[in-house]
Formats: sequence, structure tokens, C-alpha cells
Amino acid sequence: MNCEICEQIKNRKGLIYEDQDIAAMLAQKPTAVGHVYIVPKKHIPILEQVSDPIIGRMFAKANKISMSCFESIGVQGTNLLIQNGLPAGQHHNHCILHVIPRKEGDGLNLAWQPKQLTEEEMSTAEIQIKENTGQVGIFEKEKEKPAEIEKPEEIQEEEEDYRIKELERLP
Amino acid sequence: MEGITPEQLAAIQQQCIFCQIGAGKVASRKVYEDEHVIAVLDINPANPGHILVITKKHYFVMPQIPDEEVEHIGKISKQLSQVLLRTLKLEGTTIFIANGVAAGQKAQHFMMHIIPRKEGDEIGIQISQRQISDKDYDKIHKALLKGVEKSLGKISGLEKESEETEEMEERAEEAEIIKEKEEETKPKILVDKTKKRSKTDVFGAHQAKPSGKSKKKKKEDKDVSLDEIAKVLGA
Repeated sequence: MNCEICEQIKNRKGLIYEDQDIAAMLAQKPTAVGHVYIVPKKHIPILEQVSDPIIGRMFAKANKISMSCFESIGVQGTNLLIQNGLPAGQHHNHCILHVIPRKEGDGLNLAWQPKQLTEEEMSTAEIQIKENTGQVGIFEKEKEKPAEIEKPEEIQEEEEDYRIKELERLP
Repeated sequence: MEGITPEQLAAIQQQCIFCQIGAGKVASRKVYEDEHVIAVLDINPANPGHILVITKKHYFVMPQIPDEEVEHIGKISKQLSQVLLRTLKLEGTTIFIANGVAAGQKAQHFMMHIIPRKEGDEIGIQISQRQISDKDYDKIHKALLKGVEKSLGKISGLEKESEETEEMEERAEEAEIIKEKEEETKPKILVDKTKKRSKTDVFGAHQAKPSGKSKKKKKEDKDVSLDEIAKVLGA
């Protein structure tokens, strides 16, 4: 397994925070000065595979680190970003929560051009999404569940495997 | 949200369109709601199905949000992203938060974007990978490490819990000294330059109390390590 992120966790380069499950380290190829990666220490390629408690804590640490950026490297803003999947620009085969320090006129452009959708397109999206949010807000507990309980999700896993393979093809 | 009277807060909330959406007083295309957040479709979407997650409480920027609520937001982001992937048959999502005008924050209320992505949609939000010299890398690492140690504790603090409590006071003192030094040069989180009235008040009040703030920091330190202890014991 050749994962740059796992490699960096192992050799502790640029490490700024660490606990049992999470590491935060300075990006080796930063998009801005002070660009930090917050990652699960286990090799987890995509967001959906990160457990609920761990993703929650990754966000909480990201928020704290973001505050540290304001204070210790004198930036005026931060972006928190997850690029989930290849079309979203995910570079690494490891789930990353980016903290990107920002300054006025830094030349980064993380904005997007809004699309004009018809009322109908909007309602279709609304109805489709709403129908499927029934399970949102029900979180996994801190301890990992035994493998058997995961069985009904087998169909979904195939789908995920395909995406992992895509990611593994990255250099 | 220290430094704001309840009256001021009520006035802010009345003017804030996102507070109104959260309270259900303004129509929106709501797709999810719980006690902390509401998720609605963005009326200016980057792609169809673009979701905005808004806190029900009024927070200008993310640093004001308590840890448990941030954790909740993180978990929700993953689950809503999952919902988008499955229902819209996507290959990816972008989760995006802007803190401060310099980062592209436009509203006076915290929000998180979850944007459906498909190959070749060319909506932007790409980050480049730049080279950095070892010297610069080490310099930034040192500066940031010092800052993060103040708020999150030393690396591998888990194994040295007893030492930490001693260090905590030292660190609080150190923080106070550094705070004083930095007070003049410290950059403010720019929320909006044009409309100064209420915001500068809020942030002004925030920064006028360095001692109170560092006390709070210290408390947070404690919170973090207690959490960690609980986790170690529970594991």
C-alpha cells in the first residue's frame, strides 16, 4: 500500500496534533502557507468509511487548528474543505479534511459560479433528497460494531469499492 | 458569543435571514432538521442538490461554535454527503466552509456547503499543490505547533496526562505573555468591512478581554484532556 498520507503519519513530518485516531500535519505540497491536513490515522480512502465519532472529532480539531492559524500565523480567514471523490478533486487515496489559511488577495479561488435552476428542478432535488434523510442524525457509537451487523450494506460496499479502485489508480 | 447582550443578540437574529430560516419563519427548501442545525437547498446552487447546513443558533464564524456542536456538524456533513451520493447517483461531493471575508464568507451566519460533484462539472473549488522550501516549512511548522499546543495540548499528550496538568498552568502563563505581545499585531477575523456597526462591536468586545479569553482557553485545555481520559478509560 503506497499512501503518501500514511507515510507522512508514520514519519511524523510536520505533525502538529495527534491522538489515538486522528493526526493533523502540515501539507508537504501546500496550496497556501500553513495548509493543514486533518486525517484519520488508519488508512481510510473515502469520507463515507470514516466512523461518525471520528469525523466529528476531525471537525472539532479542525476548528481549533483554524483558530490557531488566526493567532499564530496571522491569517485573516480559513477554509475547511473535504474533496470527496475524484470529481471533487481528491488528490490522495486517504480522506483529508483540509484547513486552508486565507489572506486578502492571496490569489486562491475557491468560489463557484451559481447555476440557474428552474423551480421544477429545485423541487425535484428537494423531494429526492428529503425522502432519503430519514437516517441522518442517527450516529454510530464510539466503539466499533461487530462485522455481522454491517451485512445489509453489502450492495453499497460494491459501489464504494469501485470508487476506492479509482482512487488507488492515482500515482 | 461573549460580549453581546441578549437584546443585541435578539436584534441580530431578527435581521439575519439564516436565523429566520432556522426558526422556520422564512420559507426554504428544507431537507433535514434537528435541534442544532437545519439543512436546506441553496437557492444559488453550484450544482443541483447543493445543500446548505445552517446552525439554528446565530454564530458569525465557526470558532464561536462549541466543540459538541462542531462535532455534530461534522457527522451531519458525512451523512448528508452520503445521502447525496446515493440519491443523485454522484461520484463525489465537496464539503466547504468559509471563515471570514478573506476566505469567501459572504453571510453573517455560519454555514457549511455540501455540493454534489460529477466528472467534468467544472464548477471550480480546485486546490493546487505548491512546492515549499524546507526552511519555510519548518518555520511555519514551528509557529503553528506552538499555537496548536496552546489550544489542543502537546502531541502525544495522551501518554503524559500527569505532566500535562503541571504544564497547563505554565502554558496559560505563557499564553498570556504571548497574547499581550501579539495584541497589537494580531489580525482580526474580518467579517465585513463595509457594514461595521454590529460586527465590529462583537469582535471588538471579543478582543478587548484577553485575560478572559485566555482563561477560557485554559478551560478548553482541561475539557480536551478530560475527554481524552474518558476515551482511554472507555476503550
